[in-house]
Order: sequence, then structure tokens, then C-alpha cells
Amino acid sequence: MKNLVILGAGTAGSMMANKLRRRLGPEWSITVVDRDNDHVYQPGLLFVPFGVYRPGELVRDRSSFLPDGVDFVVAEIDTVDAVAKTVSLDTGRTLAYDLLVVATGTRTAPAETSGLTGAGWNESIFDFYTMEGATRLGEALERFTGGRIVLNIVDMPIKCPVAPLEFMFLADHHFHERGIRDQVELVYATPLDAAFTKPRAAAELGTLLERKNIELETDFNTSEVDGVGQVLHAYDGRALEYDVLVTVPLHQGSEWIERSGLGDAFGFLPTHPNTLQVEGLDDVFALGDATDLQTSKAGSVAHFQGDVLIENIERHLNGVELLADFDGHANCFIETGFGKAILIDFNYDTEPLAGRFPLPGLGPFSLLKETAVNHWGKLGFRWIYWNSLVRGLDLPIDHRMLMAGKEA
Amino acid sequence: MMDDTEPTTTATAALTTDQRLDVVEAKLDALASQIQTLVDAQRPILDLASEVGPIADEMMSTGIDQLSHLQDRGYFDLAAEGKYLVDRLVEDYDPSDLHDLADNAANILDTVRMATQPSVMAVIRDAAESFDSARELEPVSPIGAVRRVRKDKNVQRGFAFVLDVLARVGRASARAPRPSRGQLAAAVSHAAPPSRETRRSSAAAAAVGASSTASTTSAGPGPADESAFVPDAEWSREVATATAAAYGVAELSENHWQLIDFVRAQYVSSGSTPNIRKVTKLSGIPTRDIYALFPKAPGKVMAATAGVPKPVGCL
Repeated sequence: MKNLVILGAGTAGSMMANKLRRRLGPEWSITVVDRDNDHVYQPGLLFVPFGVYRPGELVRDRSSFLPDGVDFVVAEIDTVDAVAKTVSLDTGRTLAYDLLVVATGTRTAPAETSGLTGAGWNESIFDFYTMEGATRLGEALERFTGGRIVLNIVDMPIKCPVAPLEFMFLADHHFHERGIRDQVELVYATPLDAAFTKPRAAAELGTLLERKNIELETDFNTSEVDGVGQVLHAYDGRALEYDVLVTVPLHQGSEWIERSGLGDAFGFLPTHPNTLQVEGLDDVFALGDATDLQTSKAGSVAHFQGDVLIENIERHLNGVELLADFDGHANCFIETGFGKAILIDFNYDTEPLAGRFPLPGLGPFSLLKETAVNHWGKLGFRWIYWNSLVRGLDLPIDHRMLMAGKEA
Repeated sequence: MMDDTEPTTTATAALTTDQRLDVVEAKLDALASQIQTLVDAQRPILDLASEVGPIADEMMSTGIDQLSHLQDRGYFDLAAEGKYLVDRLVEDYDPSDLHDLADNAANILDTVRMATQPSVMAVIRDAAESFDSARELEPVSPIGAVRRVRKDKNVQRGFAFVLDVLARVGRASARAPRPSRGQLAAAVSHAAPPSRETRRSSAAAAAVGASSTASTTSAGPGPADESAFVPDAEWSREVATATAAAYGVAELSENHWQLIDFVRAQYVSSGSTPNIRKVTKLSGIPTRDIYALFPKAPGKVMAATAGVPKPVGCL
């Protein structure tokens, strides 16, 4: 009997458990570890502050997505010993592995920023990357009758890099609908030098911010938060006063990675960008937000990685050379408010371009353009997520990014 | 049939009440798991139903918004009049005409394309103007016409053109009354390449335009290309000093060099430029000190000065 251990039962871990159970023979036992049994539909968190989704609609049992023939263990991971090939859990249990798949994602670390979790935390300072934060922010927005809302991104990388922009667009829409948009000042403070990193998307999204009268503060590197005086400070001396601060805290890898001495400076796992094998460790593969790869930390990326990883695990077990097939492919819907959304599709080398997706010329989705169809796609995605993606079923979109249908 | 069931019934009868209850329980268990499987199978469908409802509502309301917008713009009035147009077409044309039309589609489009060239349109406009002013023109006698053909170069050219058109009409009428598919195909294949060529070249022109705008957007305040690595042969303290100056850092102290060299070494060894937080974490130099040395966007300025690509924000 051989042991495959999957760390993490989120998007990537559940998907891999399903794929691997179908692919590996009965001589393999599969164990999945996670700290709790709550699988959160994370793309939905963005909508919670605006009352589009209620928290209860976004959480399901992790165990309900795992197939028969997979053991699910609820425990905190203490350390991984890559030499002895064991995983130690906080329950005192030790799991031996022949093959390890790491999918423990990333977590927000608000306490890393001076003053952020002090005075005003969850009263005038909120993050919407947790269910608690998103819910409290929703209550605050309901009470809000006017003033200045500042959103700051502490540092990159973050989960779903477009979510903060989407939050601003949805806030603009929300206050318009309540008829108090002219009483509300919206400020977007980013450490990047534009609304977005890549030129064409940055131009497109920058224009959108301008059109929606959302102020853009670039190169804003948050140093500390004065929760009493309600001022956000940057290292270069800039200060932004706020009535409500919506913060996207610093993101780090899972604590066990640091404890095991396997991660980079921020606890992300150094991973081969194309094969997804963890650098220097033969029997360990990683996917999803846990890696140090230079692509989006997003569910779509985990999905595309899954298609490559399942092949590579099989190759690895058969002693065949790994496919260097993952190209950094990501694709994201960007909600822009008023029932519209933008879709972007890109990879390591190709920035988001205009065009049609997934069928070249036909769509039905339009790339880098605001359309209602994109918005419906975003809403409909929750069903695809619960019923296909997390269950490791094939979606009709290839893991390789296509240039067909794009205007280069 | 009866023979088979008989012993079973007897056997069941022989069981104690407890045993019979066990049998019933086992059957219920099996049934329960089947029901669970059925319920599980329904789940995605129920999910889908609850998801589709609101989306369909939105689609409907967007659709209606769109229709009312079209109505405001008068599209429907136009469409109502359009019905009259269609009626006329139906009266005047029969299905075989449509068949001929299809055969000729490429020819027609080609003709329209040629007829709508600016030069042709200009001639037609002139002719239309001339028609408007026809009443003011002096009538011309046959002899007068001959005189004008002899004297006026413009009339001579026009006359040559009219004769040429007449000759073409004559040639065409001498051929079969309806062109064969082969001829049509030839016409199409003749017509297609230039038009495709034009499309490609205009697309290329558009691409050039797009890339030039893209490069202007990405160009920062500094002089250097922020996405390129400057090899050792082209990078020197002098180059770095000049770059730093262009970004507003006038003088480079030993502390500056420590950071610049660190960033360059990091890029060379790891293949990616560290952002400020990473520099702090790896070098131990506090972020505040980095900002004291490079006050404006230090991540970008340090990278440019060190001759390495600016740190990727990571989409």
C-alpha cells in the first residue's frame, strides 16, 4: 500500500483528490488534511458586503466534495519532514507519505501591518478576504451615509488580484443605487504604479476608475495605520484620511511551511513554474495559492495547474520525464458594477488582451471589455465551481492559453 | 414460481421477531443509501435552478432595457416601415431571383466595393450636381456636340469612357445571359486576394498603432526600459548613477550602493527582482531606511538603477 497525502482541501486540494482518486489504482491510499470542514466559495466573499450573497450560501462541508476512497483528516499541520517523508499534525498523529501534494493556499496576515488590527479593527477598518470581515463590512456599509472610503493593498501578491478593483466598482454602484454617491469619496491606494500591472489592462481599468470617479493613489506602500485618528500612512510620507478603511492585508503562505523551513521569505513554496514539482524535493508537488509562482493566486490558475499536475504525477510515478506544460494561464472575471463585467485571460508571457473567449471570434465572453454576458458568466460560475471545478471534472477550457481570438 | 417462494415464506415465518426486524432494518438501510445517492444526484440540478433564476431575471431586465432603448431611438418605427420594404421586395422578386442573387453575391459585393471607391463616388456626386443644374445648361445641337468633342479635353475623356462602357456592355450581352458558377468562382477568386490583402495591412497598421500606444502607456518617468535586464558589459557605476539621477536621486552613497548591488545580485541569482518587502526581509535593511535613500517608488527606482526589470506586481 502506498500513501498519497494532500495538504489542504480548498479549491486545489479537493480538485486534486477527485482527479487522483480516479487516476490512481487501489494500491494507493489517499489522505486529505485540512484544519476545518468549511469550504468557502471565496469568489463570493466580494459580494457579501453588498448583500448579493449571504454568508450561509458560500460555505459547504469540505467532506462533501471528497470522493469515496479518500480519508479526510481535520487537523492543523505542524510540520513536514521532507527527508523522513512524514507530516506531523497538531493532534499528535504522523502521516507517512510516498507522494505529497501541497495545496494549503495563502492566508491574510493583518497583524503584520503596524496598527492595522489595533483601534478600529472591524469597526472602521475591515478586510473582505474573510467571512467575518466581509460580513462586518456589509453592516458598516449599510450604516454608511457619506464620507471617505479608502481601500489599500498592503503588498503583492494577493489572492484574486482584481478583487480590490471589483470592490471599488461595486461600491460605486452600491452608493449610486442608494442615491448617495455624491456624498461618498472613493480612494484606491495600490503599491503598484498603475491600477494594474500589465499595460493594456492597466490602461483599460485606469480609465474605468476615472470614469467612475474613483481616485487612484499609485506607489502607495502602507507603513502604518492610525486607527484612532483614522489615517493611513505610506512610507513615502503620504497620508490618507478615511472614514472607512477597506484593507487587503499582507498575504503569506501557510505557517507549517515556515515551521518546516521549506518556504521563501513569505512562506510560499518554491515551485517549478512549468512542471509544478517543488524545487529540490522529488516527491512533493504544489499547486494553487501556496506556490511562489509569478501568476495570479486564483482558482482558475489552480484549475489549469490541476490539468498539468495530474499528468505529471502519473509520469513521476512511472519514471517518465515531467511535462513542462504549465504556462501561467489565468483567467478572471472582473465585476465592474451596473450588471457588467470584464473578462481577462493571460499567462506568464502574454498580458491580458482584447478579443473573444473561449471560442475565438464568437465568445460568448468578451475579453478586456465590459459586457453583461461576462457578468452573467461570473454569477453562473458559482455553480460550475461547486459542481465541476472542485470535483475535478473537466471544463471545456484548455489549460494552455490560446492566442486565437485575441487581438495581439 | 410458487415452489420458489414457498420455502422462503416458511423460512421467514420461522424467524423470530427480532430477526425479522433486523431484515427490515437492513433493507431500510440499503434504501436510505439509494435515496441519498438520488438526493446527491439532484443537488447540482437544484443548485443550477437556484442560480439560473436570478441570472435569467437580470438577462430579462437587461434585454428589456435594451429594447426600450432601441424604441427610444426609433428603431421599431424604422422596422415597421421596413416591413413595407420587405413586402415590396416579396412582391417584386420570386425565389428564383433570390437564387440568382446568391450566385451573384460575390460579384455584387465586389461591384459595390468598386462603386463605392472615393474616386467613383466623386464622379457620381459631380454627375448628380450636374443633373441638378441641368435646367440652366444651354441645349446642345448635334453639331455643337461634335464641336465640343473636338475642342474640350474633358468631354473627350468622358466620351472615351462612355464608349468604353458601351463596348463592355456589348461584350457582356454577347455572352451567355447568366454567368456559370465557374465564371463566378473565377470572379470571386480574382476579387478576394486584394480585399484580404487590404484587411491584413489595415490590421497590421492597427497593431502597430496599438503597440505604439501600449509602449507609451508603459513608459515611466525614467529614461531606461523598465522591463529589460542590462548585462554586466553595459552596466557600470556611471550608468547606475545617471539612471538614479534621472529618477531624482542625485547622489549615491555607500548605503545606496549596498541596496543597488543587493537587488542586482538577487535578480542574477534568482531570476526575479525582489520587491521592497522582500529586500527588507532578505537584507535586514528596514523599509523606512530604504525610503530614506530612495524616497519615490523605491522598488522601481532601485531596480532601474541596478539595471534589472522592475519587480513584477504579480497579476
